[in-house]
Amino acid sequence: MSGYRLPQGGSHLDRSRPLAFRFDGEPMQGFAGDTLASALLASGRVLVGRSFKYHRPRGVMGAGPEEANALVELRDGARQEPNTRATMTELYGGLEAASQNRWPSLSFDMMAVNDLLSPLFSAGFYYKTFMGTGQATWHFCERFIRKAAGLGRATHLADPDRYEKTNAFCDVLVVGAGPAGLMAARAATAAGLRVILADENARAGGRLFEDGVHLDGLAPAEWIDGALREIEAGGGRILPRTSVYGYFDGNVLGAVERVADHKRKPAPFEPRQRHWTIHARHVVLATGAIERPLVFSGNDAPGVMLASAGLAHATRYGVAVGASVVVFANNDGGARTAIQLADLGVSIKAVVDPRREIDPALAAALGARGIRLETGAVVAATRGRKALAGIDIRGFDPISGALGANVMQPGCDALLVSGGWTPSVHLASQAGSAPVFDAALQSFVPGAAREAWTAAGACAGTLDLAGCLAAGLEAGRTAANACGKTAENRDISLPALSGQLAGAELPFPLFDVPATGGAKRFVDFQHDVTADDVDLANREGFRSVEHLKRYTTLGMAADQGKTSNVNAIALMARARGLTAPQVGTTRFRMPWTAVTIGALAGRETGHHFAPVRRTPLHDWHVAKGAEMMTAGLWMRPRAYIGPGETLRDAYIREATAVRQRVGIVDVSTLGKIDVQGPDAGEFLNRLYTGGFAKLPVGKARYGVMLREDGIMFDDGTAWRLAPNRFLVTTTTANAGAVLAHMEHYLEVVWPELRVHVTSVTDRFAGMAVAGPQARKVLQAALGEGDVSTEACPHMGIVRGRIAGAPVMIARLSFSGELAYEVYCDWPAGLAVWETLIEAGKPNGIMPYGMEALGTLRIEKGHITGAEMDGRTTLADVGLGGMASRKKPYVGSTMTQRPAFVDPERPVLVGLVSRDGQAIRAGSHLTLPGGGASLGHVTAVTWSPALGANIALAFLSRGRDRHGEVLEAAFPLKDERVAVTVADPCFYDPDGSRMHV
Amino acid sequence: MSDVSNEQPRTEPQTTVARPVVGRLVPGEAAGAEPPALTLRELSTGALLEVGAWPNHLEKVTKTLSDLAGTTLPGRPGRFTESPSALVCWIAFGRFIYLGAAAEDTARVDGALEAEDAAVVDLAGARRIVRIEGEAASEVLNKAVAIDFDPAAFPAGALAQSVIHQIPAVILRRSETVFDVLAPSSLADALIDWMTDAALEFGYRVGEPGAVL
Repeated sequence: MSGYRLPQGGSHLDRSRPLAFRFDGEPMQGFAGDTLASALLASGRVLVGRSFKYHRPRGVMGAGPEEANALVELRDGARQEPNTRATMTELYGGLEAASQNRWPSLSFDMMAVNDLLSPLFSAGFYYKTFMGTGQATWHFCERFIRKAAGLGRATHLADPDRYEKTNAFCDVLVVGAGPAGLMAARAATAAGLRVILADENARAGGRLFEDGVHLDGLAPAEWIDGALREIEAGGGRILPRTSVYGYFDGNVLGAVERVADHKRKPAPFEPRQRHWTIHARHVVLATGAIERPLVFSGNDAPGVMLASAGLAHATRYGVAVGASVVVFANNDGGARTAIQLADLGVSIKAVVDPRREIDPALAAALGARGIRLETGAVVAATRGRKALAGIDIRGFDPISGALGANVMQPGCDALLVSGGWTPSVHLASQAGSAPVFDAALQSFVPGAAREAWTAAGACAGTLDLAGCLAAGLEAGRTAANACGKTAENRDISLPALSGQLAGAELPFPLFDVPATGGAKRFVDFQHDVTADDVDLANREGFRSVEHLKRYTTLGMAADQGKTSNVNAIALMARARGLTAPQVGTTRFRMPWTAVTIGALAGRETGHHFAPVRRTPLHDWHVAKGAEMMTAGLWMRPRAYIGPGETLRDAYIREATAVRQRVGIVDVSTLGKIDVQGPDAGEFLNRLYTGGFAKLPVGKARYGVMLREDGIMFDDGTAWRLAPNRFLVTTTTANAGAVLAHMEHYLEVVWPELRVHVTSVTDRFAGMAVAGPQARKVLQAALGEGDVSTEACPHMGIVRGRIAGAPVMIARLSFSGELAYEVYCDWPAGLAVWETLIEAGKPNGIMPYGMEALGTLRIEKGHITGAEMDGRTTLADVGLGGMASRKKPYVGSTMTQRPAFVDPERPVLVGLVSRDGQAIRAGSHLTLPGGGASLGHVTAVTWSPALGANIALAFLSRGRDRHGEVLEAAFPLKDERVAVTVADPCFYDPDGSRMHV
Repeated sequence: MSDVSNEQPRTEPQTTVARPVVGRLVPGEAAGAEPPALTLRELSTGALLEVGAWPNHLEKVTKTLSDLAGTTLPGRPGRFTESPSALVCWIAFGRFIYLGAAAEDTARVDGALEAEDAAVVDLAGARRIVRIEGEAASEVLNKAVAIDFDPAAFPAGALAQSVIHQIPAVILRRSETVFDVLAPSSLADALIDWMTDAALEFGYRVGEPGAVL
């Protein structure tokens, strides 16, 4: 016999709603309100999992977030989730759970051989075993270790659920809705403050259900519901199932709400989980405390659990955790728990207490219930492997710590253990100083606050209910004061308590019982870290708590030392002959509980990962069969691929059209900045390497900006539209950076200049019409305006109308052909584009994409981001003549640095493949036959105009090497291409084609 | 330019990430939870200009804008005021957005301000405006922006420049439950895409396009 459902009781249970579920495929039944753990215990299930390292049989040990053993795989298919705590999993009809880390089955696990081999797997196993064995050994073993490692299995299927992320603001965030948290939230709400009350459990109340008292004459559930109603009526927001996992700078906290984890699947449009970023003026940490296990031989046997968990299962879920229960505690809470359980109908056999005597009233109460009391005694060992069968009780000398000779061996199927309480100081530690040791509690309490928080209740070391309620009220008032509310918070008073009040259950300082036999004594159940491992870490010099943690894995991962931290420190302190505070404590970091990746990602997955930036011609491109490519957030046409065409066919066709007739390309993505003000000309004159102050109105000029260190930053054109107004274009990629660069100089460096810069990228749609027929096409499209050579010379700007829309036209060329950039209002973009296409039909106009654009510019040796890669100077790319000698400009003082004038410096050259083989971008240039790299290839293409594979490259002493034969080597593909070095301007070097 | 190594004629259906149909508001359509708690609609405006005053001309510029709009300007950045014909946002020190009911306001504002007083940029086509309306409107926006939308902290008449899903946005609170969001035209479809998805859990219907004023 093991656990079973009591005939009555269960504050959380709705016995009228039975729910069917399956564990390891076996049909079982529980009730609405059950957790998976309580339903398993009620079904008599003792063995629920296998441990991490030794594959030891494990049962439920807790009743809340502290659970370290009952970790299960939930659900199946794409929703399968490993390592879920059964104690925090609310039962729903049809729940599917499976035990993990076992093969072939939970009761017969082959990997349990690890337990026998445990001397091999001591702390520091990997370091000791694989240090010095060489890579080959590790690589051989790695696959087996990886297969054996870990607990549950993650699914490889895409997560079908939605996750949301949101921000919330409040005056007071109360973390934890136990007695202290409820009082704090009531007080803060009554003070007229905006309150958020978050609790990781489905129901508020904390341990109030187990305190066995009435508040203001109300049963706990009624009083709690009343408090919640009051908080909500006062405008407070209650967040159940919400784990506040992290405390960040500036009183910002992270929380995850399990919106639909208690359902089979989320309702339509409902997120599975919601991540809350909570901005609070003040925080009340009422995070409670977790009972400590005691360390003794076989203390991990299924059936050994925390006393508080045994009580919680009886009071909340009406579950007796065993048919024959023994309690082992170093504090009065053990006896009290035994009495409460007996009164609830659980058969308690004995209470074992290491102290020589306990409160006589408690002793009498035990006697009255027929519960045997063994004082001056400890549980030294357990019997039973897959389920607890009995225990060894031995005498214990509290002074010497020695065990007595006599052994009592009663049978039992559940052992409830209490080693005192460990305040949950995790959040306080994340946002404060190191926790402080409290000798009475034999544990740590929050240190000094470094953010605006107040700890209250068990979290701050107050263990009795009356004290917790009072501390919560006080914390609520403190929070109200901190938020500037002092007058109104007198409405709330403490509830009158009736019933058997427990005092503070302070522990006798016993953490572990000396080992008997060969059984392991576990400190950290989740990571299979034993007392011997702590000793070993000490002997091997890993003595600081931080080293101990990393050497043994103690307190790591999802567990965060909830049940193990204090015991480990106590054991290490004793091993080193120090006190616990001298050993120190871990400074906890987030998260308090595990956070799903989905909650962190929110809806930013799949095609919502990043926004798509579209030009006004986007749909036209797609409709015409363009293959789109990303350029930052933008989508741009790569090429318009016709039926039966390859990408290569398409871009060759497009580029050829530009060279022979006319093409049109969407350049709306270019950065555009309105530079305006009386000092606009002076401002640009200081930013660009060339002169701009005297640029006449109605003319455009190509310009390059340098960084402060003299490296090229960006290039583009500036159009002078009026004496005090320029339109500056930038590369697509650098639009934001150039605007920020300008704003920096205007606000920080030259605040005296009266210039405003405004992004007008989205103001103007842009399209370039390029090719020998460009003028003819443009003129035909123009309703008003003149683009004749006289009216619009090279770099000239004219205004006109196309399709009724005003346009600005600048005669600029990136392709080397006669070309114009046409800008119009963004919304008019499509009409202007279609009119240009229509007007160009007699001339065979062809839209072209990025591949053709790239081919055309490579043929001309024009630079883009591939060449302006943050390492190159004007002189490197052959634009040294653009560096004005008549004026200073940003970066000018650095242009003559020794490294910049080094004759060995790689400079821009062209390459032509000698045997028709394509050159690969990123290739390194070497002498024929190999050797050191002399430079690298930045851009490659098949040039239809030249009928050759060409490339641009940076080559050391490149201008002296024109005509030389080198190799472009790409070792990753084992490719070597023979190339001839050439001038980077392959096509029409005198520029006659655009000056027509 | 990237390598062009794709020598195979394309036979498979084209898989672009262009998604031309996503991010459009079709009046009358509804989606998400029922009944819809939100209404989304696109708004238009006659004129939309950004005005940048020189520091020592701020007073004159605010006076001019007040006169043009027929309303008293808000007392500080982060607020807007409106009249039946214009809405003036004070977005940052010396910086204003002027929304005019009539297209002619562009020329009126430009003409009223001297180059010595302020820079004026016509952004009429550069922004699109989406209205989100309903009790849950602030909850939708809070999914992206860390702004306290409590009416005490961000009342009607308040505005904020922020970023929604990487999209720079100006958020105007027109009333407790009505927000107008200005986004760059190139990213407006993406904003609508984000907003319709974010609104699903509350449910939304798409209203007829309207005017800001």
